[in-house]
Amino acid sequence: MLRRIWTFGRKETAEHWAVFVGLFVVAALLALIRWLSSRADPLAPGQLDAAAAVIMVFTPVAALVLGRRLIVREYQQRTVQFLEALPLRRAEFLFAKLVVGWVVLAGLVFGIINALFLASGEPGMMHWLIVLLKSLGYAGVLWSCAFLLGLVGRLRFALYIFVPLVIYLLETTTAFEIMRFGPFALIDPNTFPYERTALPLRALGESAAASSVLVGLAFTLGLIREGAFAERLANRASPREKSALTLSVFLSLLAVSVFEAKQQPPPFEFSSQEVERSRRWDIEVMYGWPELAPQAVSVIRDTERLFQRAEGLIPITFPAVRIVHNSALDQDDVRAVHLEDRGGVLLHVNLGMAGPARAELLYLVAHDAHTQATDDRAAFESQHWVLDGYASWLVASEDAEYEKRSWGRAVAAMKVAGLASDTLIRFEPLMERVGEQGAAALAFAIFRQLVQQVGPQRAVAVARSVVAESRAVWSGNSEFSAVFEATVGKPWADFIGDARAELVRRGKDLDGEAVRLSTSKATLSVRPGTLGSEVFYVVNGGAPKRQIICQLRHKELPPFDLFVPTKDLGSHPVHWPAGAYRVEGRLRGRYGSGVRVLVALECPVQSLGSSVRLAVSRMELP
Amino acid sequence: MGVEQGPVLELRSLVKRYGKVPALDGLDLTVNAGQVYGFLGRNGAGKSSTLRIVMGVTAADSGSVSLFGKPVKQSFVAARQRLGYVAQEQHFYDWMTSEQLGSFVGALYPSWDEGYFRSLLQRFDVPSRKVRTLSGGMRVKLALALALGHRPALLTLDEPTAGLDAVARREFLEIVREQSVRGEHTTLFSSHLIDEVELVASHVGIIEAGRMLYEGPPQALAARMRRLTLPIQAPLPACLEVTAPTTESAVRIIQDRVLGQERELMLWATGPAVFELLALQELQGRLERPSLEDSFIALVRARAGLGSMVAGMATGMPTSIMPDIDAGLERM
Repeated sequence: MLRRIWTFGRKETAEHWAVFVGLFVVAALLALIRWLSSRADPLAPGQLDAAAAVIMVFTPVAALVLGRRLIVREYQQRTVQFLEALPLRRAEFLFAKLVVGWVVLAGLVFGIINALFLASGEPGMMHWLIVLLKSLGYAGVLWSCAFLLGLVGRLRFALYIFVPLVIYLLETTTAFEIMRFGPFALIDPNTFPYERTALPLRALGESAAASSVLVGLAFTLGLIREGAFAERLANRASPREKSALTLSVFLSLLAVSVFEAKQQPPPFEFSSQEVERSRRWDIEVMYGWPELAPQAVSVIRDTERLFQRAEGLIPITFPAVRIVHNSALDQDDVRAVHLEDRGGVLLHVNLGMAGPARAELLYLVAHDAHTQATDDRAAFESQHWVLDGYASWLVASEDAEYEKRSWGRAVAAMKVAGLASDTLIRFEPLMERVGEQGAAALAFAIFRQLVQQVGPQRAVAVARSVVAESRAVWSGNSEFSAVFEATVGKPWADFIGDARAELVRRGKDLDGEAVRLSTSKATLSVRPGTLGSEVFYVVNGGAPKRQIICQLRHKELPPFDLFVPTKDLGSHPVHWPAGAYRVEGRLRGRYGSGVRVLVALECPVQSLGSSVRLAVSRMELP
Repeated sequence: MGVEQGPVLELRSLVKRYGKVPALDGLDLTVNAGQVYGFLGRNGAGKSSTLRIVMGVTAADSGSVSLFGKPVKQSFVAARQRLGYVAQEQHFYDWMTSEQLGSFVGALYPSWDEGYFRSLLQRFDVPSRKVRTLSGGMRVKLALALALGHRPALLTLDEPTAGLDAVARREFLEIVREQSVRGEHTTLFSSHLIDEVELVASHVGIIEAGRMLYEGPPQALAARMRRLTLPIQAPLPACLEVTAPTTESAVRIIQDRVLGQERELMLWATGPAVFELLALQELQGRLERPSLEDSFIALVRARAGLGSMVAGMATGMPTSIMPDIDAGLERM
């Protein structure tokens, strides 16, 4: 029997080798592109992120291609009838196809993982094996599914519609979450790069069970009535069937629109063993490395303390908080992942770094938790500054270093953007002008000034109106001014004047480097160049003591004007030599004619623990 | 591989239905070693269903299939390895050359003789090209070479010449006959074209509506049938004047047709001696031995209830006699 399976397997390889090689080449190219783009993006945490993305996007396509070649083609070209006359059982040639497809798909995953591991210099055979096992588990389910779809012949087109529809309906009407089930949990991009010290046994078990069921169904279909059923399904669809399929698509869309009411699913759960949990709140920290366990405990304690304090001020139901260790992040870098559909907050931070990241992390926990608690209403533009100011104040009141840094950032932001009575009300333009950190710092300064002038109780009352009573959304400056005056007892314009004076006063405490950089003038323009339009930048002032590397941040804009978060922007390094009063350069060959681009120039200020955005522009390339 | 003794293939009471449509209705068939068995039947009579069941491609609803003395289900692969099969349509891997196809197929047969296969390709003039470039006739010859390459004990041909032009068809039949003459294997040749079968068959089985009408040497069939052509006004011989035929009748009319000014009767006798007696009577017409094709058509028409025709129109021969004919034929 093995000899017959081997013979058939060799035939399959000889028949489809070009496709196999093609898939490997495409996989290699995708991995290379992903690797190069992650190298170009300093915010990219690591190569395993790239691996997860490539595996998630490419392998389903590869599985469908293999299913089409190995299964559908055999039945559609009726060569299966030739096989049936040979001394070869149906189960034997189906098994040979199953093995060949699985080996190729697993080989693709193996190749992608291996290449990116080598590229990133990831250490440890054990880590490598665990990630590989996860990938193979995923590839197994994927291929079983493609194998079954291949055997259902023309009905597979209907399944392409109905399976996602059923999953969607399950997700919307029950607590089921596909991304937390078996194979999908194995390659969830939120955990794939980080869960590599423990085997996710449950997800692997679910994947094995799913593969077994799918393969069982496929063999039943392939063998039932001596394969006649599968052969009949391989015939091309009749006009009547095509009409039925079209009608089904229409009905499916109708069904989707009917079942839109989505239940709140349970929060994200880690499958790793190395997780520290809070006893009082739904807070989990996945630290990944045993030696980081003390830091995880410390983060839990800090977050609990923050929640305890925040709960005493504004009683809200805090959402689940998940914090993941990410060794690729810098010490002051914290990355938030939006989990709107999971009702929780997911943050990445480097637990192994001592530095200002802890306060930044707590600020984001406070900010995102309050945002989630209000279904994002607290972050509506006219009142967004209250949320940012309140969250910063919560952290700064326990962390003097963070408070000092926030004042410094606020002063720098005011030097860049000024401070008028509508500056904070138009919060998104402010964020674009000075960056999210600068805008948050300015909001902190205003809230801190509020606490100073009217006391914490009345200041918190303003925050409560935004966070706890968020049904009353301010529609603009005049409405907000009225609410503010009624709550605080002072006109908003007067209050802003006081705040500006306070920032000017505190500006004297700023170190020379911060002052020089934040008062530097930068201009951004478009000029024709040899490779089409070029973004030209000129910076005057500064004269830093040491060479600094600024970043020209850029991104193609959609045809509508929405705020673009900093994390979504690409980067082009701008070297500013020590002592230089003028720096100029260009970004070329990146964007074509007629494209709208957001360009911003940011320079790091060490004492502020952040960058100062010197110039920003939305420009259309001629 | 030498020819076996006794029955190579035995089918007993085979029943197969496709939904509500019966394809085989209690079919019995026996192919003995060394025979070239012509399996005759109209389109849709059940020939392909029978062969698909023999090959294990389709399962019968009931009945038994024995190959080389063993139930086919017990020794599926072993039995297949002793079978050669040429299908009605050739669905080869067209990206392979004839040699590559031989290597692939040969690896599945322990008795595969690569040298013999290559010599067959040469003898059949099958060029060494990719299968997709071969003509229909070449493909059938390639299929025959593949079926013979492992020196099968039973070669099964399922209407292999369907779709071939007259020259290619004749060429293929000559090859089959040449292979049969060598006597290295038993051959089961299914066809609805009588002249094909006449060329090669030592035994025939005639199937109609899923049941076997006749099984035996074609000469024996011809010996029990005569065509009597009379002027239209001439009386029937006394021994044929039976208004309600019974199974006891020595001679029965299984087809009665008027063709212009003549009346043509196809007669079925329990033995050739009956016709000798008939020939002794003073007949006003001609008594001839019919061809295999005429015999086949008469039997099939009789089974289908079209035995009595006037210029191609049914005249209403009582269908109640048909079970009697079936019984009579099957007893032979």
